[in-house]
Amino acid sequence: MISAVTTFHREGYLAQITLNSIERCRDYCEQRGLKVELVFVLDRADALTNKLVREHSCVKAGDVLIEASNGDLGLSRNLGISKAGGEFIAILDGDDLYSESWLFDSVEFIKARGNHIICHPEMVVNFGMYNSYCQQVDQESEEFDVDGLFATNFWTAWVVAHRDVFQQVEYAKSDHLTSGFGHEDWHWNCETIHRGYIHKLVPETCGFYRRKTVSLLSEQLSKRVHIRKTSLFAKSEK
Amino acid sequence: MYRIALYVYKRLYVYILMRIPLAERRRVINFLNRVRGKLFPKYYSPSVNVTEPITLNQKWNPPMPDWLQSEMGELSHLEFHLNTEEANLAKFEHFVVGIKAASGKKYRELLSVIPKTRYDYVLIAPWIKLGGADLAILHHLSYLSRHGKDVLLVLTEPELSTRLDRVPGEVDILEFGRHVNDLMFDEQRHLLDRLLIEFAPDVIHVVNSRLGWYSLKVSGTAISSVSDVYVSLYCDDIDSAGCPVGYGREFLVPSFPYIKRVITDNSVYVETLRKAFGLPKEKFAVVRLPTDEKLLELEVDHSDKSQDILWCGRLDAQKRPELLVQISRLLPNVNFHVYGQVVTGNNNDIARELIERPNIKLHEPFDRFIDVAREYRVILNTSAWDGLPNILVEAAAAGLLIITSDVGGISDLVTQTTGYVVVNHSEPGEYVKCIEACLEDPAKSLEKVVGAREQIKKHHTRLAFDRSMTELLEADPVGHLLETV
Repeated sequence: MISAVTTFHREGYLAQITLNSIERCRDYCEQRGLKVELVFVLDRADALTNKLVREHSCVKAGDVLIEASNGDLGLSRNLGISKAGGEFIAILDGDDLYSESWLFDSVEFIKARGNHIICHPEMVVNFGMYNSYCQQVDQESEEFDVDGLFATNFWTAWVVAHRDVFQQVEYAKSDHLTSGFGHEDWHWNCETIHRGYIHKLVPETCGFYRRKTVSLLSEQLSKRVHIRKTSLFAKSEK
Repeated sequence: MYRIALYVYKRLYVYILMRIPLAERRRVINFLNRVRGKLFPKYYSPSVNVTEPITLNQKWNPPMPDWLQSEMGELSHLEFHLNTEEANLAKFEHFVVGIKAASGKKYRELLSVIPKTRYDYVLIAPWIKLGGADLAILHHLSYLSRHGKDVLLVLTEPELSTRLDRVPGEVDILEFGRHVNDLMFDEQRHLLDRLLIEFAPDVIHVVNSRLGWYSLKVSGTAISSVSDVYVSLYCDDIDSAGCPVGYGREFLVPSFPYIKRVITDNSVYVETLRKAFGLPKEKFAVVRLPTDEKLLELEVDHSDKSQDILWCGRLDAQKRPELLVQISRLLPNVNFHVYGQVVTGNNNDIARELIERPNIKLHEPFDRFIDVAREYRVILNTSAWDGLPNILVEAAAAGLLIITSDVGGISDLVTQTTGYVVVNHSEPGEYVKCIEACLEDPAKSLEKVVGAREQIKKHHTRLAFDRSMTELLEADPVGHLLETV
């Protein structure tokens, strides 16, 4: 089984579009015999978002709905993961869309390569405030350079990995307004690489990233938010 | 200009980069990004985005893979913006994730030369040279190493630090500026930020380092959430237009929320900053610097009629050697002995004037004040602005009578009962009156000298300094240090 851990906040009607996309992914998996558990974390969600999530047709018996007041993406993801029952965990965002085969192909990819693999969609399509597309970075590709993570995050937050990975490496607290630390996904990428996990691209899969005028990412970038202390860039004992 | 460069870049991308393998393309793009950063820094930040978008002429976009177009077409039933009609699809620009590893590699280089994995105290300074702030840094380092703290001294400027030999051997030194000199300022700041976050010392202390101040301003929230932040400020500088400038003016207010303590060596500057910005008194601490206590053992004798007066300082606009020249003209029978350094600006003319004055004698700079202290009875200071100059502290300790301009933090030590204070300090005639008065009345001079020495014994011994430092570092809660020093 794969648990799709998705965080919702104040997406409003945009949440409905994401839920429709997740439902499509779920159907694709279940038609191929892969059970899907939806774990939705409603972190300080507004009433409309809460209603849309609770009433959506994709939510079935056995799925998990959690109301939280973390105000923190990292902690909310950890909370969702702690309630997830799947052998595999997918991390999704409440305002994006995903290619139909993303969850299923990722699980197949991990089964073929091993539980040390962390899957990312091969492509990212940005849409909304601006439109663009790119291929993400494969850790085993020639151009990959781990030192590049010092200045730039290579991947979006959407990942699929074995649940052991998330138990080994939790998401860091991301309270950028009070502590100056954020980009919990970037930090998680650094920590997992330091522990020897391999970040791979799953061929012919894609995430569709809704770019908004004001988003958590744009806010963090404008405020020069940092990732927390990470083992990847720590001074090691000789 | 940037638009032209961007146009050239687009053509380059279309005709050359598009034809080379992705890995090579990414390397070239990284290189071009760095060139862009050098030439157009305002369009560049080293740590901006998940990816580095490239603006392209649409007709040259590489085609979106068929499978992706197909998937978008399916999802267009869910999301309007993912329409795959040709005109809409053409809006989607291809870009390449830029892998910029240069900063990361420089960071690894820095880690490799830092001996320890953890420090109690990181002191960030531009360099260690001859100045008063450098001396203050050395006193702080001495205290910290005597108290068993693991200290890293980070020197952020590439210039040679001429007094590194004075740094206690237990202190580790990172010549940061020399390692990162080839990076842009914002990249340097990013490296310093990461070092501070990763090492997370108990205390980060910034003294006169522009990069250190900039880190605080930009990344203070993160830095102060893992370390206590101290800064040292001594006085404003005055620019050529007569305006107050310096780190206190430029950086203190935006950095103030992240600072636990503002350390000064005089109470006057505390009040200057508080009056200028309305800052709370509780965050300031006056830590007076210790002096060479051997000076206190020198005999005080003002009975002779020596007409020799000492003047020490840089030959620059702050110390006003031109005022000394004017004074020397008014007092042809008094000899002025100048221990000065030419360090800033174009002051060849003033050096020539000093040489040409028959009653001014130029000397090589001394290494220790005690080496010359015995030769003089009176010291003259003509600063236009200042903190509390160390030379006056040493002079008071050595029993010299001080005649000084009344600027900055000098009044903490020199008042009319401990020396001669020139309020109208741009008027040479005012100094002349004081010099004549002191030469004519040795008994009164002795009284003032004894008073000044008492101030030194009270505030400027190592014991007093250590007590202030201990209170500073152990103070909890913030807020009582001004009353205890």
